[in-house]
Amino acid sequence: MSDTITTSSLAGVAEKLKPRYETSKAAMMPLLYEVQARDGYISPEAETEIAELLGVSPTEVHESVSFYPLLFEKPVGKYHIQFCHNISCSLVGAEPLIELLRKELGVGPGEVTEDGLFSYQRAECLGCCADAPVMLVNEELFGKLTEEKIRNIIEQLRAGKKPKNDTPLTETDEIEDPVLSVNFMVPNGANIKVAEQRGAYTALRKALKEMEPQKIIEEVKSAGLRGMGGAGFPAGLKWSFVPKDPTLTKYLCVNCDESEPGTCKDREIMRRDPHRLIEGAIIACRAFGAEKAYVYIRREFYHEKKVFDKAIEEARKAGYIGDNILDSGFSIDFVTHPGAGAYICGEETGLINSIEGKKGWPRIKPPFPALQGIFDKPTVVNNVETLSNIPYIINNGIDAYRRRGTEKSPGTKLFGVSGQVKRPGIFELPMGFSLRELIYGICGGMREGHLLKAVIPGGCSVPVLTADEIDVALDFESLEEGGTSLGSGGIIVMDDSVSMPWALEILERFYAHESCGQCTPCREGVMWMYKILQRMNNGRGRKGDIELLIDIANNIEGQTVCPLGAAAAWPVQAMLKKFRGEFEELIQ
Amino acid sequence: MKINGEEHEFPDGINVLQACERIGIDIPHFCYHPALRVAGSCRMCKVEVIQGGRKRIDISCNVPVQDGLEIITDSPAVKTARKMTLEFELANHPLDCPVCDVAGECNLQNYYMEYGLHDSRMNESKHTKHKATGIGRSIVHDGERCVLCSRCVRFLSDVTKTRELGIFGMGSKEELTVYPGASLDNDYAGNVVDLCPVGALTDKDFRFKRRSWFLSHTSSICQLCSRGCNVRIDYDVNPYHEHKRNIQMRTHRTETTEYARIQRIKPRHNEQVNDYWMCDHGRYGYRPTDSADRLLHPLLREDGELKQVKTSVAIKQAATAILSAIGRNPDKAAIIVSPLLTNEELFTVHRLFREKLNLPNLDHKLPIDSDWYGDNILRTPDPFPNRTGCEWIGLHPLPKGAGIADLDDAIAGGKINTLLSILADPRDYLKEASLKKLKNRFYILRNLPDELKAYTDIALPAAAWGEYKGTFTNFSGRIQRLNQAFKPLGEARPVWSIMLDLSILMKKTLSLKNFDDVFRAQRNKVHLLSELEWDDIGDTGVMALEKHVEAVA
Ligand SMILES: Cc1cc2nc3c(=O)[nH]c(=O)nc-3n(C[C@H](O)[C@H](O)[C@H](O)COP(=O)(O)O)c2cc1C
Ligand code: SF4
Ligand code: SF4
Ligand code: SF4
Ligand code: FES
Repeated sequence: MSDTITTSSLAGVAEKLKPRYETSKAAMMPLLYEVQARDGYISPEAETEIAELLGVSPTEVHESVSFYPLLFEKPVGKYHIQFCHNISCSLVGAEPLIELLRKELGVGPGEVTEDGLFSYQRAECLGCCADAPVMLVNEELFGKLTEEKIRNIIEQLRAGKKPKNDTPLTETDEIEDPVLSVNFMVPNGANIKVAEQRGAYTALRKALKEMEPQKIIEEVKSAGLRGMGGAGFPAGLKWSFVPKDPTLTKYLCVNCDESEPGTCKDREIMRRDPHRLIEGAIIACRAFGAEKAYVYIRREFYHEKKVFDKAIEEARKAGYIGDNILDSGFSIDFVTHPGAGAYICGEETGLINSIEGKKGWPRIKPPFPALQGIFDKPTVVNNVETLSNIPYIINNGIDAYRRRGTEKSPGTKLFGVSGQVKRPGIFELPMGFSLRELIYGICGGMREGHLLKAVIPGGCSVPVLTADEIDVALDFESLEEGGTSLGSGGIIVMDDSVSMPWALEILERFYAHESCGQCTPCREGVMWMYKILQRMNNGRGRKGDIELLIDIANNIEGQTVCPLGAAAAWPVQAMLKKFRGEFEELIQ
Repeated sequence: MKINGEEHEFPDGINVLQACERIGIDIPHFCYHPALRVAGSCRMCKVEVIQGGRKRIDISCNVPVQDGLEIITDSPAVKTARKMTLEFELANHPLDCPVCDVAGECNLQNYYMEYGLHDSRMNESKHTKHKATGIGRSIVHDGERCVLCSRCVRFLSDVTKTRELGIFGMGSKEELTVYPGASLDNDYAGNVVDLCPVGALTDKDFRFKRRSWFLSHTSSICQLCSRGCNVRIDYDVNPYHEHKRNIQMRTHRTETTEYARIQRIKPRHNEQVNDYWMCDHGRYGYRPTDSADRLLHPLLREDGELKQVKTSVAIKQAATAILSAIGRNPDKAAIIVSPLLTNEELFTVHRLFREKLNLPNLDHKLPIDSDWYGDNILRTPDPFPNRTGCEWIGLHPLPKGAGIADLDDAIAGGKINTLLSILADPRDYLKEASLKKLKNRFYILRNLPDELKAYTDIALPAAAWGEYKGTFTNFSGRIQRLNQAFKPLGEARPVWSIMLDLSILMKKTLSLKNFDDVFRAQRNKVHLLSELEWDDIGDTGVMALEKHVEAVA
């Protein structure tokens, strides 16, 4: 189902959207975007209008509108720019560029230029870290930005022209024996014809015709496929928690929120090989009996969502999605659902609430999603990359999959490398690959004249490694042993020009901004840590600050509704342990 | 399962927090409320959970009781977790306690004294949010004091389904507030003040009236509809205020809220009746007890003028008037009672006038105010608390007698010339012409409106709600107990006590001496429950029929 709806009246749109979900409230997010497209922002009158159309209270609409950063409560410019100021972009000079943007436009963040043409906001990670620094102009992403490029873009837009977008395609390598990046370098790889020629949907045929659902689960279990969204939970095991009762409605939820700073891998699958994900997702649904897959795509992936929506339509036409697919008696539907700029919606239950049209507040557990997920029905949430492994496993079998990687972390993984290496990019590597080899080999080492200082190996939440600690294998167990985590495979590399208190302030600014506000330790504690760091970096460090930071972090970790609290605490704990001297210098 | 090393058994379906409460271990908490869905967000209720050999800190409000579970509520880890959670709660909390209405009954303040007592380590700027904003008829909101527990939000979304409040924004900047342009005015709005564990939602009606520690509490039953919500009367009988009030009532006859005894009404939990809630009509309907127009002394018409007389004189006069009116014909008098009377009062009226004097014209069916409405939460369609009592005791006209509906005609036709109206303003059910025509107009009332005075011959002051004890039988047949909070004002007395005196003066003594006698006598007659004692009713009442069935069995 496409998201672009041509019916002119909002009521008509609402009626079209509602059947995609079990409750009419769930149609709120796409409907809000319709209004935002119509009015430029969401006015109180529009909130009431939507509330009436969906049969909910204006309060519920306003809770969402005020929660999500990409729902605007006041008008924005004709060209609204989101400039990433998170760690990967900051490492390669985002701040001076944002300053330039401010000067060029003559307005501050959140303001609109007098001619109504421009506005900008500082954005947290846009999920394109290997292309840093990046900005979105309305729906178009510009990467590898320089002062000159920004000036040019603004100039062109002012002149009413479409600016040239010369963002190079993210660096990647063709590797021997790939699982995930097989089609990354293939021209038109997202096209179903091309994909089919290269074997797409053969695994689906096999799974439907030759395998009992339980057998699919067993295969995936034995292959040892781990969750690639961050936690590494075995995928087959997760599916097996879903009740077998065939009378229950079940859902798959594909997590394409990809917003953990440093992580930019799912995006490549979405835009370069969407059929691999669709095929994997259908097989997963077949395995545990889901009748619908909700694909949650972060709003900033405008382009990726377009490609993916087109792929869904192609797959539908080709008979892979719909009723009784391939004459198997199995029916499956797909719904893509847009996010709205909140990192917390990557957390599986925040994501579920977001799909239901609510604020992305994570849920307390129990109940677990496997029993009560979307619309309180049994639900599996899987990451894009996790699901994209499945066609290969079904086609080639357990042993073929296990050829790569380690015993406990079999297979391959997509690593996104960002920061101050010569060649950032997205690389598929067998699990257990050496971190040193990745940085100095594949990524070409550090920028001229600089030495490696620190690496965050698994998305910005995981504990940092020092330059001396990079002789470690990139798999779940080895990194765990090394006191950190493989996380989402977003590797952020920092050189000796970087101040660790500065970097930590950027990270905590992110968590303070993204804390959903539901539970006390995270809501209050993370902002507190950020304020302390900010003060320290402003030359007003005090005795006791370091101890206080550690105490706050220790008491957030493990005390919250969802792991975001811990994710905010780990960087503080690790940085203060490994680079304490730099923080001590800030204390008078 | 084990709690702090001791084995206990609990029924399925409750959580660890509730289990601990049952065995007398209080777990500090903000967001948990037994009548609302679990939010699990304040993180205050943490305990140590040992399950399958593994130890973890978890929130007790969301861990169901289970076989083999082991809970520790007082380990160093639990204490640290509580202390830090409090420190987080207080990080952005304003230093308002000296001026906060809720001081003294604030969970945050209490927990801080019990589990926190840290020196503030928060040296950063605190958030600023809305302060003291009126968000409805009776509710004042302070965003800075809010601990974002979402109790109020859950109440308004799940119980009233009106959703006036929401937590808007995201992260540390979010704020609980009323939907822009809306007003928190539903019939149950006052409950959010009780739910709020801190002073973020306060009651305009109570703000700055009294420090909570100056209040006394008495359990009672709301008298404003037939549900009979269980309530607590919070009052202040400080003698100084009493003195001021008396002066004010005597000299100015103005509103006396400042020195009133009842300061506020709070619902009491009763799952069978009102759960934890009450409606605003009941909550704010306490004023008449202390209102300036209370009738304090008996009045008697002499030489065409109403004069203050002694109670004994007034009762004697009433006895004489009624006796002479019904001397040969009991049809001459009508006795009208409001279903506002307690069972004990109704019983004495019935025994004297029906059983002893055999008056046919006895009724309680006052018209219902057209503004009144019931709903599907608590309010019933009947704004009187004790209609069931009236029916069970039998305050009906005899088949040939006149009821309220027949009175105007009967008076016009000269069949009735004497009226005794008890706790009912006769203008509510009689035409002015009837009032003029009546020969004896005898009232027992809590207040005597000026406009009624012209139609009054004898008026005796009745004790008001809070001033005496008794029982109501609610719409479902539940007998509930009203306790006495304070003495009646002036010479006001409960109706039953006036009836006892009246019966003696009418030479038809009921042979009952005190409240206990009356209580037992009415109980024996009406409920067939010879065993039911005042204490058995307890604070939550008993279902008469159930008790009866039990007794018979
Ligand atoms: C704060 C937070 C953000 C997350 N963001 C993402 C995300 O953007 N994408 C993702 O796949 N998983 C994310 N996760 C992990 C998900 O909760 C969930 O574990 C994952 O989607 C499960 O898929 P998998 O088992 O296939 O890895 C996040 C978790 C947390 C706590
Ligand atoms: S830990 Fe943070 S993000 Fe997660 S639920 Fe609590 S406040 Fe929200
Ligand atoms: S106003 Fe009170 S009840 Fe409502 S969320 Fe805040 S602290 Fe909780
Ligand atoms: S519902 Fe009836 S009994 Fe309960 S508080 Fe309201 S008026 Fe009183
Ligand atoms: S009472 Fe359990 S988390 Fe709030």
